[in-house]
Amino acid sequence: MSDNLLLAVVMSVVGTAVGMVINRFLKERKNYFDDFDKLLCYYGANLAYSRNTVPEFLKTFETQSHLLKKQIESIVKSLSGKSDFPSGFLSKKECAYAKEVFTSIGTHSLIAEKAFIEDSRSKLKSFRDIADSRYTKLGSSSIKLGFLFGLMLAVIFW
Amino acid sequence: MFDFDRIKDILPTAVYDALSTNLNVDKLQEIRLRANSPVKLQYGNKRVYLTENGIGSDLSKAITVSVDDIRNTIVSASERSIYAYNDEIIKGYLSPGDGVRIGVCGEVVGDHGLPIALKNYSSVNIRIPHEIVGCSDGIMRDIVSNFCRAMIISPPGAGKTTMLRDIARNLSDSSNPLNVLIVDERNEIACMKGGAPQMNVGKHTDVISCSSKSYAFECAVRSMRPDVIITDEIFGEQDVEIIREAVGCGVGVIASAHAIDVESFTKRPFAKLLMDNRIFERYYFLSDRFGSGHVSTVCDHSLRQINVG
Repeated sequence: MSDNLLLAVVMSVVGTAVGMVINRFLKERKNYFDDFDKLLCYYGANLAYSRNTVPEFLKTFETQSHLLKKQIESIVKSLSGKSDFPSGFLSKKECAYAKEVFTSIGTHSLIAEKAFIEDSRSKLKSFRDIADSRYTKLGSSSIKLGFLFGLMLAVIFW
Repeated sequence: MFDFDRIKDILPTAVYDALSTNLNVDKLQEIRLRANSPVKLQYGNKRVYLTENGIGSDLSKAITVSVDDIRNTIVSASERSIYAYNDEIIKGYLSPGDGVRIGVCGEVVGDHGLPIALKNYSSVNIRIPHEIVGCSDGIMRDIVSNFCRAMIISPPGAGKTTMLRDIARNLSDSSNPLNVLIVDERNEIACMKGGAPQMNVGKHTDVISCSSKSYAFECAVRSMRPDVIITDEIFGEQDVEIIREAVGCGVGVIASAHAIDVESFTKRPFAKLLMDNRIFERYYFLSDRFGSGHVSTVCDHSLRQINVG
């Protein structure tokens, strides 16, 4: 009886932990695309007003996303040499998009650069919407589902 | 002395390697990159090709650069921020800092007759700065005794900018320092970066950079009360009018212009205006025969040659 109770607790804890990992993953993806959009938005404002250079702009941009932070660091580093572009949890398509944006940023005249940012934001929207809806649908419920799934397994194995 | 490593990121790797391993970079004045053409240098007052082993006159051994190399050079020189240098690029140049000046050629994109961008870059001319402290010492007394109203004239590459910079330093750091203001339209004289001059232009010098002469002169005269304004490259009657205003306000002006000698200078339309209005008291003609910044001829306000000892 006590063994079964222990198993039930362990299963529930493991299930909850799995749910938390999924939640964190989806949240990280959502934060990444949200902050990517924020970056493009701020960069557009930079083009309109202060016109700081790309390195100056990137150095002052603050993000909650660890992956975006790493990618920005890699781009700043690549300005004075080569560096690998971290792809993290991004799919091949998402990574290609991010890489394209970061390698093309700053290489156009002012008018073309503004158009490029607009275009990049509209392309980002589809990735952002997917990440957003997945987090809304699964993110908040993944912890509860994980807990219930663990509990269900415990009941089955009781 | 210019640190050559600073343009490592700007130059194509093959060009940088050939320059840094085989040449005395102190003698280097210009690097000309043209798409699908050999790299040409102005090296120790000679025009030569760049080869893998150094310099040479054999065209077949010269290093060539591609269209992409030209584009990458401009993108790198702009710190990967073409838009931030758009106004400069449209005017055909780029000042990436540290005194390096880059002339840019390409296809002009226009809108309602006005240039708005440059595309399909075809060539660049990278000019390496040479700070020659003391090159103006020989003419300083003459400049000051003529109310600091002087013009420095020479063909391209003979040291006009170097001379203006040294005059600014001399006036600003003299025992009786003057308030010098540099109107640095192309950011070539003081080479401002992040609010600080990259070249020694003296301790009592203010700089307005990357602005049109008319705007900068108006701001300067109204708000900064300079004793002397130093500016580069007078071009056309509009510039003469601006300088006339400043001189009329009692401010000394030292400027530069392109011409090979006195005769060719008098053929420039604005030269007559300068003389008729007696805007400058002295005209100093430079020659690169004995190195940059050598004064070969001195003329008075009417462009008559004189001897100042």
